[in-house]
Amino acid sequence: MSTPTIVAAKNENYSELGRTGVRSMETIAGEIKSAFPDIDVRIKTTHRLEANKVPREIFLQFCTYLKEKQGFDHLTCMGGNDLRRSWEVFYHISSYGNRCLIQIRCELPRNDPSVESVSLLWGGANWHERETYDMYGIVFKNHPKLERVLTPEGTDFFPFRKDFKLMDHWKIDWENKGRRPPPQALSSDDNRKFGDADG
Amino acid sequence: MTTGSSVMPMAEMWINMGPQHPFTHGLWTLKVKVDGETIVDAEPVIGYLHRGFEKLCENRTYPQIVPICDRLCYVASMSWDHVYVSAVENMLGIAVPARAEYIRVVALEIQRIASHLVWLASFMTDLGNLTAFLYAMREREMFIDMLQALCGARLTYNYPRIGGVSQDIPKNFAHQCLKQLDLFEKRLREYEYLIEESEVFRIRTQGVGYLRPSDAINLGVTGPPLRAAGVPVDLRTHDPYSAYADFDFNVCVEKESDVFARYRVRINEMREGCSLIRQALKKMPAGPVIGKVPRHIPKADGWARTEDPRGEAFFYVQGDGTDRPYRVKIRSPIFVTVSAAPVMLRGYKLADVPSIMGSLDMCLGESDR
Repeated sequence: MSTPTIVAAKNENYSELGRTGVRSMETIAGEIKSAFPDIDVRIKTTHRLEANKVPREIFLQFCTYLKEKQGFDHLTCMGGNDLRRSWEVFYHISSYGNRCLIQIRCELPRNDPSVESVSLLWGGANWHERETYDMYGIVFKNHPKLERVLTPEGTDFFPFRKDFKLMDHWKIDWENKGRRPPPQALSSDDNRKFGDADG
Repeated sequence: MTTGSSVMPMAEMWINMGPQHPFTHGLWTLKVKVDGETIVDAEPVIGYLHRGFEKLCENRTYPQIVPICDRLCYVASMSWDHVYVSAVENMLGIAVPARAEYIRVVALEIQRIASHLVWLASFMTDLGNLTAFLYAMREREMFIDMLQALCGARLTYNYPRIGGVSQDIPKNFAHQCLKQLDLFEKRLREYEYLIEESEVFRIRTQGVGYLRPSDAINLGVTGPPLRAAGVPVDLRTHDPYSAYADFDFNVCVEKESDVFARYRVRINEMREGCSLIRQALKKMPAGPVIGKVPRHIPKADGWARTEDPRGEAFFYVQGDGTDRPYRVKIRSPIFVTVSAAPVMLRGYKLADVPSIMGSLDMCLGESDR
């Protein structure tokens, strides 16, 4: 393999990106609404859209539409959440050309925490999805490499789940003037090892 | 065996660079697959500094999170405090007094220069220019002193508050600040000569670590590496926050998209930072430095994104109506940029690794969280 020589890409001129040809939020929201009538897209502030209830079935279709047709070219952030009765993934996808950002939230059933991966659309989602899998155990289908990224290999728990118990002596009882509670003995029927995900 | 076409291929092998390696500047590993001297593939391994930051936030009240945000990035603490308080302000829907916004701009720009100087120092050490290391560290001291005058701390500031900043600027701050900026700008020109006139530096940076602009956008690379690729996206003008809409400054863009272009972007940003501080100090309005904050937290979510020295910093805070957040999500610019490292490294030589990875300005505190 030889050292690559730089060939300046011909068609890639981004010097006017986000300066000319900026479409208004109303246009974008209207087009999304007409393409996906089931999804409630709202304009929150001047640069912010929200689609808080995207069904899991059409999630990938919706994301593909956003990228291909509406110019949302940069995935700012994504993450998971444990809503106790269900799971949730949220995405913040921004458009450099239209200078706006859309927030997408998608709820997943408790017994099946899986959703389609978007890392083939936006390469920036790759590690964020790995991290969400790492912390919450949410599985991203068709992810190129769904492995743990922050915790060591062989970790058998998902630390950000709400039922993951922190060690008691790390907790500070802020209601009780910030005193640390006395160390509690584990009950006899508590077979939990340190850091067990199922509590 | 004599002609180039029939060279015997060498076995490819993986080399672990790190976690203890001079170029890493923190604890992380870069696994590099090499064919002879040429890099075929690479894989960054991070997580050595993972502290469960987002879980930590779920057990703290909103004001208690500000001091631990300092620990996200130990060379740019102020910008992380700021992005957190902005997210909470967005969630609460409160406005910040104009004076507080201007003070924040001053603090953020001082922090940006200090952070870029640490980058310059460590990058120059990687490339063997120890003189520039000493000079950059000396100049950083001036900016650290300014921040110390502002809030009393040198590294972990705990200065922005939800609704404003903790205290007003000291009386002679503007005067001292302007004096030191003049000195700094004069010296910066000298350092450019010192660094750029060196042929060794040019050979090791120019044409190395090329990243296509479309790849940079798609892979989520932000900040100086993105602007070095010719994409004029700086959130300070692209999606203005705080008081940045009031100021007149340039977005520093380069076209070459190599290591040298990233170096130029950072040097120019320091200049623009000086100009921003001057404008902010000149236009600083009078008034309170902290606004009224509601006592009741709504069941809502808020986010903020800012231009960190390293790229796009993002905080998502979801509240459930109690005094603690239900979920906090942090987007660290370096976490995403380092995931794009294999694209930049492929095809270059093993000796280019310190130069290419150094140009990204790694900070493990924020990428591992």
